[in-house]
Amino acid sequence: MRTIKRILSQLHRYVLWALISAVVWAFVFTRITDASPKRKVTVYTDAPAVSEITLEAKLEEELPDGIKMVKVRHFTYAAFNSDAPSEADILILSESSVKEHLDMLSPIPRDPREGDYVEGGSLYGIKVFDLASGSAVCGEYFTYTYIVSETPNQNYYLCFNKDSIHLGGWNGSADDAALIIAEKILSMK
Amino acid sequence: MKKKTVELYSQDDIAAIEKKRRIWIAAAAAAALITLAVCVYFCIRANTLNAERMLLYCIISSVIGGWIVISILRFPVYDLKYAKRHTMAILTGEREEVRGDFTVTDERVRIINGVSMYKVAVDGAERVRSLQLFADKKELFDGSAHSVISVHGFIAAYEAGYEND
Repeated sequence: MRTIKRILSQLHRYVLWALISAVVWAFVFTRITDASPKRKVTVYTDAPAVSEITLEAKLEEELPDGIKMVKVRHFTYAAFNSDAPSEADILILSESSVKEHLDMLSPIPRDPREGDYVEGGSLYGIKVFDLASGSAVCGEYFTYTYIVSETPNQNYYLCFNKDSIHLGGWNGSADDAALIIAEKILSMK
Repeated sequence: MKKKTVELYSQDDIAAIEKKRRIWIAAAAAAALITLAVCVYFCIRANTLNAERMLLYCIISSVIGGWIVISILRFPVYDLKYAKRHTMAILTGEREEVRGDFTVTDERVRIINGVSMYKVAVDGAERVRSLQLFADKKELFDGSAHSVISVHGFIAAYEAGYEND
């Protein structure tokens, strides 16, 4: 009883340490395991759902030279995530988001196919989900439609951030890792 | 024949307490280092698929390791720190002889700073009704003594009959 009393007298220290541990290690762990933007390709999507971890693991099976990791970020309403689209290299966005973020997207120097997102004669988005037919790229990892939602379902497009440092000759980047990863995504059913 | 006085405290006690304290501090440092090493190991082992699990292991290890370190620092290390202070205070304090019948009770109390004491009931003494005996000295104290040396209300020594010259 005396021992329990003594331990309970220190309860606040144990609880405080548990809280500090959780916060500090979450921060440190992320810092240690994360890669610098030069060695990381980030995919951002506002699709209704994405299997982030399994998609990351799949894309990391064969990484371009100099790249250590692929990060898949999903849109959330969290305040700290508000700058995620601008930090991403590849964006998989709904049609309305493409229109909204057009100024941050890179024109894609290739001939558009039917259904791709073209603005002012330039290709900005490669269609990855067609709402009418339901055909989807990477459908195993992405859910492009809401089953029940007030948000209307839309087409989705794969786009590139014009400020990405992995676009190769498109914008004078040192490497074209984002293009290689994008090719991989487009080739996945 | 002269009175035999058994001293419960000595300078050797301070050295022994300090040695124990250093061992406990070393144990706390070792626990902290092991915890850190385990956490780093989990960080190194992390990959995309197991990152969340590794982070969880990392936090659990850190929490448990931290609790062990806190427990060592707050209990044995602090107890020994104040036991040393108590011993020094007894060795340098003013000694007072108390005569009477002494009974070591099972009532254990913690004085300021957490040093553990047993209450000693005193019968037949003029001014003193109770004294305190440092818990670590309980086995050394002969409860049948009729005269003790008290310092600040703690039993520092007792008379255990007579010895030959």
